[in-house]
Amino acid sequence: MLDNAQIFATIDLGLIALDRQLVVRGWNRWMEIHSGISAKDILGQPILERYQNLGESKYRRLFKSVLTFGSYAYFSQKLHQYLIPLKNPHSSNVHLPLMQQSCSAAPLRDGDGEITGLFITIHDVTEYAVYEKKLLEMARIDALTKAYNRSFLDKRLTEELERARRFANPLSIILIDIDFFKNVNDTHGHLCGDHTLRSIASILQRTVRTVDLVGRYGGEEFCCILPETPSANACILAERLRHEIETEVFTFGDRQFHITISLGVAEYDEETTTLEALIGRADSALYQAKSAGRNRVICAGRDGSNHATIVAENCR
Amino acid sequence: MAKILIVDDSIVARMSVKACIPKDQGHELAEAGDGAKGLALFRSLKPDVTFLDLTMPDKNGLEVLEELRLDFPTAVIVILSADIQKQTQEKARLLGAFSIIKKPPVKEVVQAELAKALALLGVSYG
Amino acid sequence: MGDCEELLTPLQKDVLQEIMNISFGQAAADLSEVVNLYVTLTVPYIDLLRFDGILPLITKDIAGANDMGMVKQFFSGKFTGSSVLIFPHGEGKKLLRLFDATAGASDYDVDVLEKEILIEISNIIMGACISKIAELVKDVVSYSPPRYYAQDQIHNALSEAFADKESFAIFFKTVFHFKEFDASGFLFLISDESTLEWLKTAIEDYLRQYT
Repeated sequence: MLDNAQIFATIDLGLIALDRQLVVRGWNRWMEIHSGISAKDILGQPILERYQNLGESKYRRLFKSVLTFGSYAYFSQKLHQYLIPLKNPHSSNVHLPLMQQSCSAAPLRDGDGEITGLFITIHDVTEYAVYEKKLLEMARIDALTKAYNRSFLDKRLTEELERARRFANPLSIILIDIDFFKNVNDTHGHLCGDHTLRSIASILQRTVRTVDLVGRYGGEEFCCILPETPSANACILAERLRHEIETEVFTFGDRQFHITISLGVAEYDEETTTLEALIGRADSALYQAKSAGRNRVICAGRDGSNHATIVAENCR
Repeated sequence: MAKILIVDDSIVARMSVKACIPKDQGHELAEAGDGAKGLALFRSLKPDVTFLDLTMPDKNGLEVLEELRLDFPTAVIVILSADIQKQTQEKARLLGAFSIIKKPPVKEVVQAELAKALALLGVSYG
Repeated sequence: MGDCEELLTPLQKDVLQEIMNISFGQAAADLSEVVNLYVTLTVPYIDLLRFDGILPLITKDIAGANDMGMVKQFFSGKFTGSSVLIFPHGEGKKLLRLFDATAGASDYDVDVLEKEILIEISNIIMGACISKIAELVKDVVSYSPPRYYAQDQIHNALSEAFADKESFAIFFKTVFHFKEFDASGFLFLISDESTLEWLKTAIEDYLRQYT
């Protein structure tokens, strides 16, 4: 006959048994190693005394549903990150100090079927979480400029449009195109072109607010999403972006050169409820900025007639 | 003796309430199988005590209660419900329920509530 | 509906309905205790039908919503079957606040979080309803882990589960609503014929109290 206690001791999972009052009745070797608390120190102690976080409503709900309904409960890493705060035992602990856990809980019953307590399993999923985080980043970041990519911008803009509609908040976007970018490539080579795109992305990123999103929208096109911002304020920001780029001295090797950008601003309203409509309006303002001589900001009119207003002068 | 109305969509539920009411006090019992019929029957019968289920399709018990208490502010209405959430109880009380009995009905509880209601109304037992 | 009479008399069916009203009412109360929110469960719709009749019943309710999420879970004991919880798309997002989770503060996008939330909340809702029915047939039920299906997987998963079966199913439907979040969804419980005997015992027990 095999001894089940051996499994409890050596399994690569955290195992905790609690009674109805949440007093610790079981604490396996894995828990001892990762928590630094020995079984003899914690058995018979209320778990809340050691881990106050378990008193929060989301944890209470988990325990209550197991103790009341006798159901299994699952505790997702994506929603909660962890159940018991334990040190991340992996090399990823520099970025992620706490172990990421996927947990479940199930009832323990006596001979009459009455629920007398519950047990919890803790699965260390830190490595998966780190890997997943990298994949998620790869899926939303433009590899060259490290700004967001177009598909992520589209997705976020759709969400922001929905939020603006629901809460009646203003929402603006700025479409940006680099002036005569082809010349940079032709004159200084494609490596210099790539370098320029990266520099511009980082200037845009450091100039906008933290709530704003900057992404690469096409070859030499960028887009900024400005939540809770009316077009008047968006134009001020657009003008600041234009100014920052205009005054920057770009260097590549021993070459130095200047770059300018054209910008089209559009604000969400009843007629631009879709992503396409809003981008379309910003795009036509951008087109107008180009044809009016570049290196300027044009704000799309609010009357929906695509009548663009030159605001660059007022903002300067 | 008193006139008692039972409103519940379930025959069995009405049966269980009836089974809890003492047979030897000469009460006159009437039943309705939904909220609308309950309202109509109440208007014609003017019962002393009404037992009202909360969870009924179409017009639910709270709606019936509200309408009844609007037209008959002194109507004595005992709510029967399995939903014993505080908010549900509070709603029923705010709408003027006399008391709330948890389903399934237990004889002693139903009789105690009935006695309380009849004492309040001053109805004498035949 | 027509098949029903062969398996249960109208009186038995009425008792079953009332017992389920009571069970789901208590489940709502327990649920609100556990999640600390006001929950309403509609009067459960109960039917006995053949397995191949289930799919049309479910799809009828969700016909309007092209965009939805489904959580499916098996339970076994004397009361054995599957439970299916269907949320129209977006309902899960409303519950983000309930889980102290905010989309912005997380690496994951809101659809991923919605899925996780639906799995967690479904598990609790199913637990509440099934445990009440299990109590009724004096049983201890165990559950399989919940599985999530998105949009286009839903129909396949449902057809696979309920296709080509000759036997009878007991079908329960309720709509639950979290008032504070204005979030609703459908819960379907589907049990096979073997449960019927246990339910008949529960029906007799109930009737005996009042005769």
